[in-house]
Amino acid sequence: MAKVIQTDEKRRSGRTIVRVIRYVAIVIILAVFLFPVVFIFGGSFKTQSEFYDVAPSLFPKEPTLGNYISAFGGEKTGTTTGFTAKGRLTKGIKDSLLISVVVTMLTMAIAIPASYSLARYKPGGDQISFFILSILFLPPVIGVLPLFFIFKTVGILDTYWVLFISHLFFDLPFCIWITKGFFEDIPLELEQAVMVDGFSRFRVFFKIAVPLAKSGIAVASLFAFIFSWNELMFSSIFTRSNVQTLPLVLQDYIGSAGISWGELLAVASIAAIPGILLAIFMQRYIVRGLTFGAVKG
Amino acid sequence: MANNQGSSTDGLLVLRGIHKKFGKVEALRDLNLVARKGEILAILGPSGAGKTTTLKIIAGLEVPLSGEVVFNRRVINRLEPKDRNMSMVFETYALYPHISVYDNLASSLSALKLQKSLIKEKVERIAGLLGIAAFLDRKPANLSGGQRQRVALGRAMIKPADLYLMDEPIAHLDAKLRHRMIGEFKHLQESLELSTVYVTHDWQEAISLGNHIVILNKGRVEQYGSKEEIYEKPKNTFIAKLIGDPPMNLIPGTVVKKAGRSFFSVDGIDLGIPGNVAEGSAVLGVRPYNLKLVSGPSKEAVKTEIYSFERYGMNTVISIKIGEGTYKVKLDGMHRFTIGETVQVRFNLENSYIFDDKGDLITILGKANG
Repeated sequence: MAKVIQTDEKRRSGRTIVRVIRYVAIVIILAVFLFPVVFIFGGSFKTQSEFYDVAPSLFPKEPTLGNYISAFGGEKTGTTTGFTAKGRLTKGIKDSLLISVVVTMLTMAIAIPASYSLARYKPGGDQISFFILSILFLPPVIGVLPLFFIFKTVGILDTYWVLFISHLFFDLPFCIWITKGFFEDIPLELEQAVMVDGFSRFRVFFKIAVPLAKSGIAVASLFAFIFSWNELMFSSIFTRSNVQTLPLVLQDYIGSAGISWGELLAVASIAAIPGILLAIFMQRYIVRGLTFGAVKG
Repeated sequence: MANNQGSSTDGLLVLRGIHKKFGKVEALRDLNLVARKGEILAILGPSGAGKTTTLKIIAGLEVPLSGEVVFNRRVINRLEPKDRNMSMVFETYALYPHISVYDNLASSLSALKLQKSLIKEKVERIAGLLGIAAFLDRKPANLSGGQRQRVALGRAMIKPADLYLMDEPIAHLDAKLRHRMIGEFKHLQESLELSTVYVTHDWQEAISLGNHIVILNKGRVEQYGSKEEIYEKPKNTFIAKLIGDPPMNLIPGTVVKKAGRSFFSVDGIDLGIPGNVAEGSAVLGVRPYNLKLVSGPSKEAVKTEIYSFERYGMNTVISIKIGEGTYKVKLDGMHRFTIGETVQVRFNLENSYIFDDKGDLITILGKANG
């Protein structure tokens, strides 16, 4: 009997050790991933002088909204330096929003029918869909030079069109790939049932395929939006002054006369909001299972 | 046509020489069948026989490699499913998961662009008939298996179609509900003279519903006929095994002649067979109710041991061993036995069957050859 109790205790203490190790690991991993986020948000409320403290702190000692106000071109609050011209941030947000929304709509308008067709009719066998995916393997920088000359010839450099087209180029393969998987998951017999009910193949697409793949479509749209929102390389090469996306504005805070840390972090915080919203939305939409109940149980 | 399904012109639907392949697998091989107007044609066969593929070819959901689908005297091989005016129950139900039961039922009527009030009336009528009126606003995921199957049946029956295609529509219901549904379906079908092609793996369903039955095996038609023909004159051992519960006993042995009389010889036992049958190896087919237990000494009886026994409703089925094989005897009423008990079994070979060693029917015993 005594032996039994002893082994029970041993097992219990073993379990406790495993649990402690697990929590320590989780804390370390979270610390690594969350540090930049906390640093950015915390820093955005600091005064400029606080950035030069010898013992740097994560959180501001005297929290101030001054960085946000001056970033939007408001009155300087004395401690911040204000590197950028008035209204640049507002234009950055406006341009980024416009480009992200239009690119997302264009991408999905092409990706949804394209991925459905790839999933159901397999044009070109398996090769075409793999070819589309393989564009993702290329580093985007490879496309920059040829695209630059094409856009220059066409005469659309430094216009919205140049970003609509270049973002679309890299958004499409990814979004096609995501939505294709969701279309493939829809039982074929559901679509066949709609056809027998008297609907055309075209109506089947809208009546069954799109509603049942809507979580995939939502996820792909959010990715497309975030890609455009964060994109820096194309914007910095293909545009100059006419179009100013948020990442470009952000870059300007690192100037030759120094870095306006407070404003930089305030703008970075604003720029991060869509990404955080994405993470929250994704959890809700990424759960599949819409087709549950369609087949016999 | 090998299966004597009548001339092609009197059928509502005629399949002629249909071939279908999935990759390298031959799903259908030279399939011919005729479905008549106002009748139920039951397609019976084991899984993998090509039953569902046949239905999908009729519905236009699969395209045959070769052959013709003739519907209302028109070749419709290339006609889109929506233009065929057929209706179908899928074995997987295929209910639309994102819309309510009401909208599932109304789907085909909205394709016909009927008035909303008329659709409502029709949906409520069929829902009442199938006992699903209480669930009209639920999504399919919130229904039980039996309820889903009834919705699937309702969705097909509501459409005013020229031909109804049913793929195992009641296979997943419990026995009680199945009997009710067979009754309901038969009532609907006969009162409205609905033309139906009904796929099932259950011979009893095929016999109770089908006006004609076509038996499929490995993508080929094994036999076509009325339910009586299929039961009384199975063309081969495959059909003999498929029809009947418990299935027909198939006993391999040899036909020998002694003193001018034919005997079926198995494991040293000679069973006298009526009529004149050519000598050679053969298979004796005898239905379980044609084997009787006898008490007291009998010349014709075979002495054997009880291998197992089970109740079959109000009847008893015992298994006996002859040679290597185990065979079934069906007795009226409930009886008790002990395993290993010695019994005497008398073979009533009238209306029994002799098949050749390839399994094709040679003759029905005690009947004129034919």
